[in-house]
Order: sequence, then structure tokens, then C-alpha cells
Amino acid sequence: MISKIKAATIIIIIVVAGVVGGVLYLTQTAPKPEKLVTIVYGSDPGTLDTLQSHSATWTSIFNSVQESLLKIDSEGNIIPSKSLATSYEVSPDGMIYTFKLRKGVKFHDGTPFNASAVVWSFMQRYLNKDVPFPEGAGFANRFDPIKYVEAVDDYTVRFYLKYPYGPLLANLASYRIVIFSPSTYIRAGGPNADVPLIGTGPFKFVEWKLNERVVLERNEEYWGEKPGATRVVIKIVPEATTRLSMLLAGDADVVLAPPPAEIPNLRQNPNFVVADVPSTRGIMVIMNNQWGPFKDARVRQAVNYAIDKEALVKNVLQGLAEVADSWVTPNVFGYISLGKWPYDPAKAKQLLAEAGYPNGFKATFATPSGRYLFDLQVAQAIQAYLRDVGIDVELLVQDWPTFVKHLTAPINETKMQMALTGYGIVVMDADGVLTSYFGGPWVPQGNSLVYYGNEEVKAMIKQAREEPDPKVRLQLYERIMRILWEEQPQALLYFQKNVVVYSKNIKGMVPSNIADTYDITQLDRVGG
Amino acid sequence: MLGYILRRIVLAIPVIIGVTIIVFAMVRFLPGDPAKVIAGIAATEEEVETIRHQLGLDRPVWEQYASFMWSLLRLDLGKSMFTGKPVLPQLVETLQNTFVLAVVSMVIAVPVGIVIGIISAIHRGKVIDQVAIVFSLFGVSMPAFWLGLMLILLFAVTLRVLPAGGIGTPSWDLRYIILPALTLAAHLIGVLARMTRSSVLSVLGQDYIRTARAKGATEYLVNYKHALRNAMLPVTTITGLYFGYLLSGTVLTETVFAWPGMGRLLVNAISNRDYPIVQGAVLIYSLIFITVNLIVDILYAYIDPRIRYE
Repeated sequence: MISKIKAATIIIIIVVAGVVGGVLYLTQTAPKPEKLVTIVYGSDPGTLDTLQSHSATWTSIFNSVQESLLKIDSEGNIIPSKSLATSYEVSPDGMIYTFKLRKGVKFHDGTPFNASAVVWSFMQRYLNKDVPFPEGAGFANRFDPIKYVEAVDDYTVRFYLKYPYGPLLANLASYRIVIFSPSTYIRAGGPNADVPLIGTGPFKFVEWKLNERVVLERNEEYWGEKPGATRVVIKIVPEATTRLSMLLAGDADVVLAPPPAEIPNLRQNPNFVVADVPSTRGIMVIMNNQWGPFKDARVRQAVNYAIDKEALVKNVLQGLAEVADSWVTPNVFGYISLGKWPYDPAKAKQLLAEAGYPNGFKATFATPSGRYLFDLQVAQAIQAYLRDVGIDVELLVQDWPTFVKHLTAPINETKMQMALTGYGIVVMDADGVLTSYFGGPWVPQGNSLVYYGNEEVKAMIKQAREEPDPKVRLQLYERIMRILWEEQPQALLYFQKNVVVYSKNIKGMVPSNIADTYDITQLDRVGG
Repeated sequence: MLGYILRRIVLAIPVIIGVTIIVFAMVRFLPGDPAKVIAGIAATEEEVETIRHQLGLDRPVWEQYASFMWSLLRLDLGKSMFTGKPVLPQLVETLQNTFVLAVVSMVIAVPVGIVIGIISAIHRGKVIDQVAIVFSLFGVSMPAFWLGLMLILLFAVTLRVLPAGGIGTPSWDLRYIILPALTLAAHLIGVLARMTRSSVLSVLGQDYIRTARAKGATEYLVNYKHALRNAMLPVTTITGLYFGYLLSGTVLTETVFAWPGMGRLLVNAISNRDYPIVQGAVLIYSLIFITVNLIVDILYAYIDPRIRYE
């Protein structure tokens, strides 16, 4: 007869043994495929279609599968060795662009890359009003300047414009504007069909398991320089600490956007490399230019004077940003240095008094939480700074859908007074930011979140956009930017940095300086 | 008995309908517009309208509900507003993942918890009882979030014997399941141990136990045949309910371990206002709970012959 304790012990032993045995059996590791690189990131792509995607990070990762028509350098010249279009000509009036295409390139499904693929991609997807393109407003309102695109011969493509459009090349080089394989869509039923991800890039798409992972493998027939890695797995791990644990445990090789608190430790760790570059993600305080105190430029200037941006960057953002000295970053066409806006609370109070608010005023301040780096903490710090000069703000911490709704109401219905939000420059041309936030229509028709009202500046922005001569454009941008910097329709505080940490065995992991984007086309693993 | 079961099943239908109405309405009362979230902050009003029309959100609410119920009858839960992929296969896959995790957690927790509880009860007051009580208190109080991270730090980062998260191929690869299952089991072990202990103790104090002893039954018989069986009633309830709870997915553990289960899916869907997924997931939860409750009630009848359902 077994005593109860013995029986209990036996049960516990059986359970534990079963589990341990199972674990040991399964812990025999299978031989790894050659040169696998594992990346971990916090959110799911949501879609494979670049026209529908809101994630800059995922779009840039998929840019290794579907490529853009052009690659340009910081002066706006095509780099022929890296581009699908190797050269171009512009007509003297700036209305016709002719591109010569690279020969011998194939899509991953075997079909040839040629002029008709380029024509189809633009006419049937980017310019087609039946295909939703939510981020299209950032591309001159989904390529409004382009009248049509036609194939001159198999390897020559012509773009006909309605009016001269300076930023055209920069747009065509954006990581978000890619060339699709028409046959995949046509076979599946049309340009809106749900199709596998097929492109011309150095990596081929293998699978996407929702909330789990995306798998890519090397395209052995790539026309350019092939990456060293043969397989890339991007695992979706929502918890930042878990991502870090996976890196430390060796389960992951690369962590995109690591938790800032850990970065100093990681920099000290010889097994890992931390790479950070200034990016084009600018964070700003927007103010409703048509409401109350914010109609007066002095009040808006006071807001910027009241905020200690250097302290914010150093203490709240832990050095992962740079205070803004212009509306765009130096790698964007049209950049000039306008000088960082100083921290001067005394001046702020003085300006408020001059504008008729000696005792300050009250306003609401909306902020998302977890959308931008330390957004909530930055908003709280700003609240404190503003209180010091008499502006009493009530923080409205909103979840993303509520926040979007709050910010995109029409002027006669909107309750937006102040908010913390950001932009990410996607096309390396100042026109994008200027038209979007100032020159173009107000929300919800357009993207001017501050309901900007200076008609003269708006006209200048339009003129600069339609000017084919880059030198003239630069002069115009200098004037426009200076006026805007004075007027402060929104207080641009800082540009965030792109950070990535990876194991010392990894090469070619490039955080690019476009907001939240990464270039994995040269990923390789050496040793280990 | 059969009549009872059939009646329960029939009564479940109005419950489910009620749940769908409540969820349908509630999720549409939340501020925020899925069309705007999909379109993004930079989209024009036209874009948003196009998307709203494509999603059918510009129709009156009762029409949307009617269309949802009609599709439901054909077992079509619609398409996710975000990925455009059909909802039902997605829910089924995440449910499978959660199911695997729930089963393994129960397999660990139920025997261990019950056994600890019994030993505690039988040796009440002695050292082993005190140890067991502290142990179960620990299990109940430790937040899953913290325990999960600690386990990862110990087994994945320091000892490097187990992966730090994610799911394996195939999904029942134990190496990936064991840590999240232990995290979930810890709480259940604590609960079950306490529950079993008090249940057994209260049963041991009953008259019929004294009678059995007086009749000369051995300690073994008294404890395992008489006491245990009667003590199992509340324990079965807890176990059943907990299984239902585990099946609905435990968001915190799934987030920490990057386990692609139902909990995470639902929380993300609510965040994004992805109505079809929220509706589909809640519907499945209600079905799970109704079924689990029914099974628990049936088990009652087997455990306690006094309980009969007319």
C-alpha cells in the first residue's frame, strides 16, 4: 500500500519527468540553414501592400523585395549602378521625363522587368483612384503632377507631367514607391487583388504569419550585388524586454529600435554594436492657428521659447534625438540651417504679455501614448514648461484612433488646440513637408494640421514645387523656410534618431536616415 | 440528463445573440474611426470615405448588424479591416496556439496543485503544510508579467537552454511552450492548492468521515475514496472556469513571450478598432465559456450522485 506522500511524489515526478524528457528530446537542434539572420521588431506589418502600409519600418524592410525605380544621391543624381532606371533626360520645359531602364532584370516570379511593368505600376496602382493609397497625400497628392506614363520601347519609359514638378526624381526614388510585377495582379484579378509579395529585389518573400514572423530568402538571380545572408527571419515580439532577452540569449541577431534605457549598457557590451543615425522623424507641438491665442504668432513663438529642447533631448529622450535647426534634416533637398530656437522663458512671458496674455491662458494638449519615442513623457515635460510661463494646459492622453480623429476634424468642428505629433520625411525633398503641413489644404481634405493661413507663403510653396530649376527652388525654399521659422505655426522641437543594435557577427545592418527605416539589402553574417 | 443537456444548448442561443448585440454596439461606441485609422493621419477626406465605403461602415448600424448575422449563419465572420484576410481562419489559428498553451499549463498545474492541496490538508499544521501555503501564496501573487521575464532571464539568457520567446515550428514544439506554460501554471497552482486544501479540510470535518473511520476504514480509504471525491466539487468548478479563462488567451503572458495567441490578437484589434475581429473573437469566447460551463455541470453529476438534472 502506497502512502499518500509517496503517491503524491510519484505524480509530481511523472509530470516533471515527462516535461523534462520532452524538452530534452526536442532540444536536439537541427542544423541551421546557412547564414540566417534573425531580426526582432515590435509590431506586425499589417499588410504586404506598400500602398496600404503605415509602417515605415516594414515598408523599408520590404524594399529589399520590391525595389524603387531609382536610387539617388544627396544631390539628387541617379546612381546608375544601383538603380533600375540607369539614366534620364528632361525636356527643356520640364514636362517630359524619359528614363532608360536596366536590361536583363527579372521579377521573382520569372516575368521580365521592363517598361510595361513600370507603366502598369504607375497607371494601374499609384495613379489609379480605385486603388486606395492612404499615404499618397505625401506624394504630391498621389502624383497629381503626372498626366500619364507610357512605354516608348521595352526599356524606355516616359513620364508626361501636367506642370513642371521639381521633386519628381526624389519621389520616384522613395522607398515607398516600388515597381510591381503586373502579372501577379492581373492573374489574381486586378490592381486591388490580394497577391504575394513579388519584386525585383535582393530578397524574395517566403511567408508572413500574422503576429508571428516574416521570412525572406536571398534572390539568387538578383541583378545587383547579392547580400551575404541567405535567409532573413523577422520575428514579431511586442515586449521590448523580451526582444532584448532574445538578443542577449543569442536567439536574435538584430533588434530594431531597442529600449532606450538599455542602450548605454549595450554600448558597453563588446558582443554587440549599437548604431544610431539622425533620422527625418521630426516631433512638434502643433497649435490651431485659427483658434484664440494661437492666431497670434507671438504666442506661438512664446510656446517654443518656453520649452527647453536641449533638456528634453538629454533627459527625457536620453540623447536619442537632435534639437531641430530647420524644418528638414541636412540630407533633404532644400535644407538650410535656420538656427536652433533658444530656450528663453523670460522672453516667452514677455511675448505673451505683448500679445495680450500677461496672465497666460488655458488650452488642451492632446498626446498619443507609445506612438513616438517617450511621447507621453515629453508631453508631460512640455506641460510643466508651459505652466512656468503661465500657459495652463490640460493633457488629453488618447489612444491612436481617438487621437487621429481629434487631429483631423474640419475647422468648424475641431476641438484641437494643441497637440504633440510628428512627421517622417519620406521623400528627400523639402516640398513634402512644406506642402503637406503649410501649402496644402487643411485637414481633413489635406494635411495641414495647424489650419495654416498665410496665403502668400502658400503661393510661394506652390511656385517652388513647380519650378524645374533646382537653383531657383533652393532660393525660394530659403525664403519660405525663414518666414515659417519666424511664424512658428507649429513648434518643431527635435528629430529622433534611428537606433539599431546587433550582434558583432552581423554586417550590413544599416539604419538609414529616413525616419524609422532600415536597409537590409546588404545583410550578412560573419563567424558565429 | 440528455434533456438537461439539450435544454442548456438551446438556451445558449439567446445568450450568444445577446452577446453579439452588446459587442457590436459597444465597439461602435468607442471613439475613433477604423476608416481613419486605416487611412492614416495624412489621408485626404476622399481617401477616408473610399475606405469607409469599402468597409461598409457608411451603412446604418442595424444594417451592418443584419449583414453580420446573416454571414454568421453561413459561418463567415467577415474580413479583418486591417489585413483584409478572413477572420475565421485567423481566429482558428490563434485559438489553436492558445489551446496548446492552455492545455500544457493545465497538465502541469492541475496535478501539482491538487496534490499539494491534499498533502497540505492531510498534514495540516505541520511544516509541509506551512511550506505549501507560502509556495501557493507566491504563485498567486507573482504578476505573470514579472514571472515571465524572470524565467526568460534565467533559462534563456543566463542558462541558454530555452528560447526567449516566440513559437516554434510545429506549434507544439515544447521548448517554446514550457516557459509561458509555467508562468500561467504558477498562478493556477497557487489557486488550486489553496482551494483543494480548504475543500478537503472542510470535507474531512464532516460526520460521514467520522463514521467511516468509526467503521474501521483505513486512512487511505478515508482520504482518497471518501474525502477526495466530495472535495472535488469546488475544485472542478475552478479548474473548468480557469481552462475557459486560459483559452480566452492571457494577454500579458502572450505579450511577454511573443506567443501569437487570441489574447494579443483581440487586444490589438480593439486598439485598431478592427470590428470584425473583435466581434468574431468575443463570439468565440462566449461559445467557449458556455461549453466549458456545460461540461463542468455535467462533471458535477458524475462526481456527486446527489446532483441530478431533471
